[in-house]
Amino acid sequence: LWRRAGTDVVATLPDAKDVQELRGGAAAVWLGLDEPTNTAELTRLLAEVYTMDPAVIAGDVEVAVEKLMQVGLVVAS
Amino acid sequence: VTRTVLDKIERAVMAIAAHGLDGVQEPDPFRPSDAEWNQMLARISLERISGLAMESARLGSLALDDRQLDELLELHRGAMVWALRVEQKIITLAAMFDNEGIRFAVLKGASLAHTIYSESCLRSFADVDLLVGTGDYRRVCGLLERAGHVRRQPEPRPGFDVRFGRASVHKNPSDGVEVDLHRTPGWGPFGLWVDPEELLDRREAFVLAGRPIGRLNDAGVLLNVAMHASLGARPPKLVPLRDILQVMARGEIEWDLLARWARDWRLAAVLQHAFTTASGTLHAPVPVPARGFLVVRAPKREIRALKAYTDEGRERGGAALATLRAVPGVSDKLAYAAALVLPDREFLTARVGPGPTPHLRRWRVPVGWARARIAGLGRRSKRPAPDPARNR
Repeated sequence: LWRRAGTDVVATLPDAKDVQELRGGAAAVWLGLDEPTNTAELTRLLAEVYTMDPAVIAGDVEVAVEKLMQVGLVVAS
Repeated sequence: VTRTVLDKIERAVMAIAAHGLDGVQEPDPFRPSDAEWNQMLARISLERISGLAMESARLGSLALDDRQLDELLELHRGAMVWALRVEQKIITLAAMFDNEGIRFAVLKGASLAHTIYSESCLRSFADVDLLVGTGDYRRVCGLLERAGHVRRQPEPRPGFDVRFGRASVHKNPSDGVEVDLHRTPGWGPFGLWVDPEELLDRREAFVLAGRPIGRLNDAGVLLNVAMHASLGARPPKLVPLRDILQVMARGEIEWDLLARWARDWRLAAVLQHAFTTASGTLHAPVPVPARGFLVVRAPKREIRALKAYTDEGRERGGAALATLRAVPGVSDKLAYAAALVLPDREFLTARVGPGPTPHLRRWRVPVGWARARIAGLGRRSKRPAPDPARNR
């Protein structure tokens, strides 16, 4: 369950108590995960959309994905 | 705040509510002063159009400074978090109803946000509206109670809900989410004329967290939002008006089916009123396939029933009288009238507050009618008798 709120995203799970507020890069990562993908592909996509060097954002993308996995909003398949 | 300022704010709020609709011209950018913005933000919140306001700000027709934009974003974020809470509730209830084999449809709110709006964040909502079959109504009331929901107001008399009622409100005190449980989507006489079972038979689904959830088909959605706009709050709220134009433009409506329902369920006057009001208020044209509904001559009975909701008499018992006229059969009419005039004490206390003479306070409205009638008769009897010579 999620909604866009400006450039931010709010998201939660059907039975979760908390609603996660994703801002900046984390929101971009979430929106980039519209289709199942891997971290490398996601980094390439975001770098293209935001015209940035993939090497510069790779670390941030990895951290954001990990945090989303920790709260259960993203699952590995 | 002067009248001119209020008009300016009103126009800007209407423009937000109409943002992106087909045939609506993008307005010149509106830059509110701080005083205007404070008024506007309150209206945006009241009308629940923060998503459309965010979109208007993004595309420039609402030109906000950083502080104003922050305030709007804060309001919108809150509305979206609440929408997720409401959707969590829908998922919980859907699982519960599916287990019990109860068929239901989500009305308005989430079902519109996820189907007829281009993005779910454009349509805010505050509660869950559910339509269930009359046969399941009591069982669902029990299930809601088991899930921690408390009914806001008891029925006037046992059995009233399933014979004449429209909906009951059940709030969960621990999460604050309200469920409006509908037995029929229409108010008063229109609720009695509509066949909710056919609406449920023609249900479709929308997806929430990967799970299919029942909703009305788009013809049913249009019927429901039109009733909401014409028979609900007076004057109508902007979101139901927007919903009408949105579903007309984006929905896959079986227009022949809608025309049959309008005829069979005596809704021609309601649809005409709703379409005209939506188009007139938001300055958006009625789409071509819906224009046929504007030229239909609605029967007098429907127009009279509609007036009971759109005129000032509504709050003075007009709606109850219109319903009484529509209740079929003498015994049912008597049961309906008795429930309204002599309801259970528990209902009265919830309705008019505790006190020694709740029935007397309840009777103020019908006593007022009777006094007005008697005064009218008196006036008529004082007219001079016509001079027969003048008729020759």
